[in-house]
Amino acid sequence: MLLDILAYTVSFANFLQFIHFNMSSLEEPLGLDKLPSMNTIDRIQRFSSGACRPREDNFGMGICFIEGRSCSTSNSCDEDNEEYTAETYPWKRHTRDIAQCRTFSQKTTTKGRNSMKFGMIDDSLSDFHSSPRGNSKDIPHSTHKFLGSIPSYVKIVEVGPRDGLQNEKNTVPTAVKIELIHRLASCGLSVIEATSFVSPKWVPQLADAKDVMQGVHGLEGIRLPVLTPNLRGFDAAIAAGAREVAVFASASESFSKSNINCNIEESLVRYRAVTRAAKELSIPVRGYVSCVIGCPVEGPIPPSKVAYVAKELYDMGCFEISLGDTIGVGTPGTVVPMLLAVMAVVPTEKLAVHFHDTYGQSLSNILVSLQMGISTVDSSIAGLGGCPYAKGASGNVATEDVVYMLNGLGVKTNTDLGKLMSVGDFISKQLGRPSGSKTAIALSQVTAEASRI
Amino acid sequence: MITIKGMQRGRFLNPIPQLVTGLSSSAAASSCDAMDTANQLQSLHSRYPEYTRDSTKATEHRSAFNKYNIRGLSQCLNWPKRFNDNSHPASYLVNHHFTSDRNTDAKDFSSKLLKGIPDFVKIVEVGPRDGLQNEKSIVPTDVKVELIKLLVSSGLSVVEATSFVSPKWVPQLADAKDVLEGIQDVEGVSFPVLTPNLKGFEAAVAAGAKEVAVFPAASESFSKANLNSGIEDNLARCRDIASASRSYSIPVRGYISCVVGCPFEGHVAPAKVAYVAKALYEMGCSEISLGDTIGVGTPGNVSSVCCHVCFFSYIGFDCSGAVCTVVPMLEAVLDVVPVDKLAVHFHDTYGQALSNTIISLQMGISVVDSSVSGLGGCPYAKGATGNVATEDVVYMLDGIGVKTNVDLGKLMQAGDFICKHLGRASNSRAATALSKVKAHASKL
Repeated sequence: MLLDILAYTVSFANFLQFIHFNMSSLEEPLGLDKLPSMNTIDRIQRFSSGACRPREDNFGMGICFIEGRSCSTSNSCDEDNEEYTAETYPWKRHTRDIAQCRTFSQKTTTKGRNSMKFGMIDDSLSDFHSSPRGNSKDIPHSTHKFLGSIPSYVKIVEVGPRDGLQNEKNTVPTAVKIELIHRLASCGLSVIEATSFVSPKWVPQLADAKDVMQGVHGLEGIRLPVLTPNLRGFDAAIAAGAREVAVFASASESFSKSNINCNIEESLVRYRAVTRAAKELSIPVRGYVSCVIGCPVEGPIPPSKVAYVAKELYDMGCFEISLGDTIGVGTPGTVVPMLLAVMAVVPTEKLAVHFHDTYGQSLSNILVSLQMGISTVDSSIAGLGGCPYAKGASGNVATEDVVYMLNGLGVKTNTDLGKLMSVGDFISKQLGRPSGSKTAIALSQVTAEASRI
Repeated sequence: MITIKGMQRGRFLNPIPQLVTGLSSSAAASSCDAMDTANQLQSLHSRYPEYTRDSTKATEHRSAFNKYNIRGLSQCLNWPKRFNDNSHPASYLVNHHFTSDRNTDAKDFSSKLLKGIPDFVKIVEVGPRDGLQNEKSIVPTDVKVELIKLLVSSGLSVVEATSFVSPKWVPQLADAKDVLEGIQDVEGVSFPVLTPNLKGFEAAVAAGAKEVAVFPAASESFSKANLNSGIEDNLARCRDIASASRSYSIPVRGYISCVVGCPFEGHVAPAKVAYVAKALYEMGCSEISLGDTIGVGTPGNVSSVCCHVCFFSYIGFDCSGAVCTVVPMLEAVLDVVPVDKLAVHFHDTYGQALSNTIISLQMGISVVDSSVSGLGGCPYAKGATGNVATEDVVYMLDGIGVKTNVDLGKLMQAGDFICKHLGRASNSRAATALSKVKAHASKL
């Protein structure tokens, strides 16, 4: 009886608070002058603190919440070039069990939401970061369930200069490519795929690979992987000063044959030679798997094939495996089983996702991938790079759209959306067509309107 | 054998460090064997067995991975079991990409990410109203009627037909009465029509409407600017319509606009949305559709963390560090309205619609509003996209194994029809890609 009264009183108090909260909003319509004016620095300092933010190493990588263990992500070369022995399975400990993963509780608060008056941040929020939100009572269960496993930091691998520009009809001048890479570097991106050392016979748009590498030679603190399909390309890349390379296998036999002129096994042989050579020189190698969901020739690709190729690449020494939905047909229904299969054989922190937006599915695919713990996403500025299999359709997902979503998710990317948009604007102007990024188009329209007011 | 190996290895690997240091690189290149890379690879197969694997062993090794195929999911859910269906010239590729058959095995995932998603999602098609009302040129009545009929034939069970607002405000929908007349013989489909006030309601009933819709906003400034009255006045009007419709036994659908962000106010507090949603629920609305009118929402759950650059801060708007996210808004509304009464109406202006939709589905929402071909731009960012395209939503739902009863192929025909009439390309990426693929296949 007493408990009932207590419960009633508490709920009545909540009800009163709710009413007061709403009444005030109706009596005092929100005006711009009521909003506290905090500059960006203040906001950053106010709402984040060491207690809540993950520990950061030199590369700005966050802790990935794998069973509470901190692990470095793919930027650590030393760990990745260790000999992988079949007897020990160090990665098995890292395999994510989603049901048990820690909740991403530090940054979320419903207390903040309920106590926020319109547009005004309640001062009680200032103490939320001193007492980390381990109190799960305050957070509705659904928050834990669907967003709790999203990493706190996601590395964006920018593939515009290579994957984007290689599909352009007109060859982009070397100076423009170099300028693009320099501008991308100033946005905070830490990995930018610079070019590809393939035969100019196959990809004439990237024939100036050596000159591009020379032009970006001075960039410090940015990783600039280059594609190397074989040893000859690898040698040329090293001679041109590359410090990171990438290889690309396919999960589909037919696609492999039509794209790189050999079947999967043969391509793996080639890449073992490349990775062996790279290991000798302590050059990290990134592995790509294409057609992870479907192939334009074969149709659906079984997840086991993707797992096989991913494991082969991982075993041969690739520090990161990027899973590419080359024709963009994936949906969360097909992405999840594919990721489950691959995550069973390759540690999650070594995986990246590379979705195409050909069917508009990339952001939802990226969201479920993040929910499964993936913390590296490939994207292309302004959505550069169409789909070669559906002419006129879009291809790579736009970096601006991805960063917009990640910002909204509260995920750190260390990139500046404003600067990204100006780079996207630059390259779109150079190519003489509108951006492939919806965020960029919308924000540029809005700023144009705002500037007219 | 070992000696040859060692020698070969030396010849193969030693030149590389010289190339790297750049010392007499050309000399190194010439001293390096003139073997072609292809030949090197050939020799690799025989001389470096550790790089290669016997083909039978390779097959065995690969088949060991089959255990990672989840039962029944070795095929894409979008693609039918029969791979080579030659009954239709382009069926090979067309059938690869869509089917509305639900794959029951999809739900046997160990992952809980997709478990909570409803088995059936109702699509509410808003193209003929929300889509066409923003068109610069007036679309003829017969085109509107034909569009609605094509949409119905694709399996859609709810199609927002028109709006009984004053032609002074929305001239594109002045033919509301004629549109309703044109579709009055269509059976088994709901055709809600918008009614902003009692006058509109009466005109709708007189024209034969069997379902109406009201549309308050969660933002005071937006309400004043868009509907010429504040939130409370608007809700009072909605109550009048709701009680009038009760006497006719006509269901009322409620829309709430600006549920995450407002072009005037910035971030919209979830509690405000919950307040309006509760009011609509209590007045008897059969369904409440939550609309992210300017498309700024993201699927996050943080409502008070600095996003560093959110839409509003980017344009210099002091949004107090709040972020426009969907999850807190949905949670607030779910506290006061049962989940089966809720619908989501996301705009794709920032490309976020499908990711917002998937998080809403994970939270149990089972009704999604969309517009064929993504008709209907954003009135606040001219030239930007607006409504999410029905084809993209259906493509995603088919892929997850969710039943929609919508045939993507027929839906694409409806989209094709209206885009041809409007003289522009579809805003749906799935439709664009599929039509390119079909065109390519027919050339084969």
